[in-house]
Amino acid sequence: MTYWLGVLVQTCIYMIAIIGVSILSGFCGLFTLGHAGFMAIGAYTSAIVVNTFDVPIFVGLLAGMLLSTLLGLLIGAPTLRINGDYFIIATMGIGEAIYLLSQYLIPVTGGPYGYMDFHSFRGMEALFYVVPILIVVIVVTYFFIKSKHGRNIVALRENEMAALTVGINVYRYKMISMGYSCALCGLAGGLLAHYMTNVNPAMFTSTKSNDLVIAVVLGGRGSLTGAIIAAMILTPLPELLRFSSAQEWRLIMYGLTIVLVILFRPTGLYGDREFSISGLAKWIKRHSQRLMKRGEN
Amino acid sequence: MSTVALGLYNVCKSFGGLKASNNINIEVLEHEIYGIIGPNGAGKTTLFNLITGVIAPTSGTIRIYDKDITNLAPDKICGVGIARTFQNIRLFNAVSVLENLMIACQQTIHYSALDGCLRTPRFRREEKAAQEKCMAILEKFNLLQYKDVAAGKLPYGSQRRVEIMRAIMTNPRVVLLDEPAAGMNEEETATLAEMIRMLQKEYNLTIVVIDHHMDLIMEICDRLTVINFGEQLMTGTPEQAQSDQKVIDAYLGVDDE
Amino acid sequence: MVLFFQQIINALAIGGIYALMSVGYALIYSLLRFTNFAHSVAVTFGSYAIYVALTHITSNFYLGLIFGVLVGAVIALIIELTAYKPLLIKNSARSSLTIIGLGISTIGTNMIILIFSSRFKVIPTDFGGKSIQLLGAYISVLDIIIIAICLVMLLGVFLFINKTRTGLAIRAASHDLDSTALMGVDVQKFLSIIFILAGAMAGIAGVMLATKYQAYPSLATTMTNKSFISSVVGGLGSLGGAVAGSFILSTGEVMISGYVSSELRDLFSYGLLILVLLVRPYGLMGKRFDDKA
Repeated sequence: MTYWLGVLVQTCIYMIAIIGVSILSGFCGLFTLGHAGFMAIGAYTSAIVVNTFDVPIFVGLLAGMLLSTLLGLLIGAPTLRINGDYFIIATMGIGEAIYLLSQYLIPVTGGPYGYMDFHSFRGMEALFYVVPILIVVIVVTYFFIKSKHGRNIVALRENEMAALTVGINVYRYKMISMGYSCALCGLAGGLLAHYMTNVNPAMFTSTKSNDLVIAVVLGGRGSLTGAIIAAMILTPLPELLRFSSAQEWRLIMYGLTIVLVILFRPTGLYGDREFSISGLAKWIKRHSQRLMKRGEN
Repeated sequence: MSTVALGLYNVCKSFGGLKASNNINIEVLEHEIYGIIGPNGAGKTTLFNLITGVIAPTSGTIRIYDKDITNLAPDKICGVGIARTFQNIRLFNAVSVLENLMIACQQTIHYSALDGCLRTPRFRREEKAAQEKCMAILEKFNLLQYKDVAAGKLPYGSQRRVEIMRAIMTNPRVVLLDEPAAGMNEEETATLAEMIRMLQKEYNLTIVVIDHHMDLIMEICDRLTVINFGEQLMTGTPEQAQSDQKVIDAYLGVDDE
Repeated sequence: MVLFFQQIINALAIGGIYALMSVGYALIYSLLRFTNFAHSVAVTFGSYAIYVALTHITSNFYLGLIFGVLVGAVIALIIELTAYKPLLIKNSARSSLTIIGLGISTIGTNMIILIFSSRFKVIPTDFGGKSIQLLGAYISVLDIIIIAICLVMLLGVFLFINKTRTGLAIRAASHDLDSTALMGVDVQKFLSIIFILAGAMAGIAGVMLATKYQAYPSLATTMTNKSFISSVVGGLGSLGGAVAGSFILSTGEVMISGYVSSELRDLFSYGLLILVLLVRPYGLMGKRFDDKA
C-alpha cells in the first residue's frame, strides 16, 4: 500500500472517531477529554478477540464497539445525572486510567511495546473495510441527527430547562450521545488496530483525546459537515508537517485557533449548518451574480 | 360544578429559612383562564416551578385532573399535559423556528432511534404529520415566513409567540404562561389578550397566566389568586380583587417605589 | 514505623502543593462554575520561573519563589483579561470557557517546549538533597519548607476569605454572582483579584513542584489533573473539600508508591477519581448547582 493511501485510510478512521465525538461535544454540548481512551478499548478488544478466538475482523470490531459503549455508559451513568464539570473531569480520568492500564497490564496488552501479531488488514483490504464503514457511519449519523432523537440532543444543548419542560428526558439523551460517541470511537480504534498491525499505549494519549475535541470545535459545533471537513484537514496535518519541532508548532497553532474561534466565531468554522446540494447551488448563484455585476461595471 | 384541571393543596416551599410559598391552595377549573398576580418577588414563578416539577415542594400535593404529579420529573409532567413558557424566554436559540416546534412534538412523534437512523416508512409518516401540525400553527400565528430563521435571531415579541406555540405543540391540557406581556406596549398587550382567548377556545385549554399588567389580567381572567411574600392574599374574580383592601395595600406598596 | 513517618511528611508536602492548586481551582469554580483548564499554565510558568531565576538572576531561593509567584499571578491575570473576560461579558456558554482554557493550556505547554526543550531541568538550591534527622527518620529540608509555606498560604487564604470584606464578597458571590453585581461590587475587578490569587497559588505550587521533582513541560498538566481529582473527591467548588481531597489523594499516592509500587501511583489517582464518581459523585462536601428557571 502506498504512503498516501495509508494517509487516506487513517483520515477515514479518525473521521469516524471525530463524528462520534461531534455527536457528544458538538450536538449535545458535552465536552470530553478522554475519548482516545475509548478508541484504545476498541483497538485492544478487537485485536485480542480476533487473536484469541480466531474470528473474522468484523466480529472483533463489534466486540470493541460493544465494550467501549458499555464502559462509556458506566462512566456516564453517575456523572451525566449531575450538573457541573464532573463529566468532563470523569472523561479525563477514564482516558488517563485506560492509558496507564494499557501500559501496566503487560500480560493482556503487551505493555509499552504494544500488542502485536494478530490478524490484520493485508494491503488494500484496509480500504475495503474502512471506506464502506465510513459511508454507512456518515449516512446513519446524518439520518440520526435529522430525526426526533437528534433534535432532542440539540435541544438539550441549547436549553436544558426548556428541553425538560417540552418533555425530553434529558438524562436519557445525554446517555444516548455518550453511547453513540463511544461506539464510534471504539469502532475507529478497532479499525486503527487492524490497519496499524500493532496496538500500543502511545497511540491513545491525552493529546489524541484533545485532538478529537479540537477537531469538533474547529469544524463547527453541531455540524456533521464541519466534523468531516475538520477530519480531512487535521488528520493529515501531522504527516505534512515533518520538520523538527513541527509537533509543538502544530499544537500551538491548534491552541491559538481554538482561542480565536471561541472568541470570534463560537459556533466553529462551519457553524451549525450542513452541506447540501441546494445550498451549494444557491451559493454559486449568489456569487456568480456578484461576479457578473462586477463584469458589467 | 366543572372539573378541577389543576389543583394545588397546602403547597409549601422553603429555601433555607425563607418561605417562597406558604400553604397555597388553588383550584383551577377546566377551560378557565386563571390569573396569578402579586408584586415582584412574591413567589409567582416559584409556583410555576413547583407545578412543572423544576423544584419539589417541601410539603403539599399538586394534581392535574385526577393525577397526583407532586414528585414527578419535569419531562414526565409535560407528558401528563402541562406546558409552560418562561419569564426570561427560553428557546432553542440556534435552531430554526420550525425545528423549535418540531422538538416540542414529543407526544406526536413516537418512532425509535432505529427508525430515525434508517428512515423507515414510520419515520416519514410521523415526521410529515408533525411537520404539518407545526406549519398549521405557524400559519395561525402569522409566523410562516420565519420558519427557517434561527429562533434566537427573531425580534423579542415574536420569540414570545414562538415560545407559546412551542408549549401548544406538546399537546397540553393546561398551559402556564409566565409574564407573557413582559416588555410589551399597550397595543401588543391587547393583541396578546386576544390571542390567549383564541388559544383557549381553539385548543380547549386551561390557561394560567402570571403577569404584572393588571389590565391584561383583569381583561382575560375568569378568576385569579393574589400572592405576596409567598402568602395567598385572596382568591376570587377580578372585580373582587380590585375592591379587596389587602390586595390594594400590597399593590400600593409597590406603586410607591 | 520510621518509614511510615517519613511517608507521612512526604504526603503532607505533596498534599500541600495539591491543595494550593485545588483551592485556586475551587475558588474560580465556585464563582464561575467552569473548570479552568488554563490553571496548569500558571503552574508551568511558575516552575520555569524558579528555574530561570536560580540559574540566571539570583541564588536566593526565596527571591526566586517570589519571582515565581509574580509570574504565576501575572500569567493568570493575562489569561483572565484576554480570554475569559470577553466571554463572560458576552455571557457565553460555560463550555466555551472550558474549551478556551484547553486551547490556552495547549499553547502554554508547547511554548515551554519550544523555549526550554522537553529535557528535565534541575533547580539549583543550597538545600538540594539535605535532610535532618527527626524521631529516627530522615526528613528532607525541602519537604519541611514546602509544608511550612503551604500551611502559611492556605491559612492566609482562609483568613482572607473568612475575615476580610473582599472575602465576604467572594462568599456571597459564590451563591449568586449576579446579585453580587447588584450589591455594587465591581464584578470584573473582583474576578481579576480571584484570578490573581489563584495564579499566585499556582505559581507557588509550580515553584515547589519544580524544586521537588525538577522542571519539565508536562509536569504542570499532570499535577493540575491531580488537583482536579482532589477537587472532585472533595466536591467541586468547595474550598474545604479541595483541601481535604488534596491530602486524601496525596496520602493514598504516597502509601501506594511506598508500600506497593511507584508505578501504580497515577493509576491509583485516576482509579480513586472514577470510584468516587461512581459511588459518591458529589464528592465528600460537594453541593448541587441547579439551574434556576
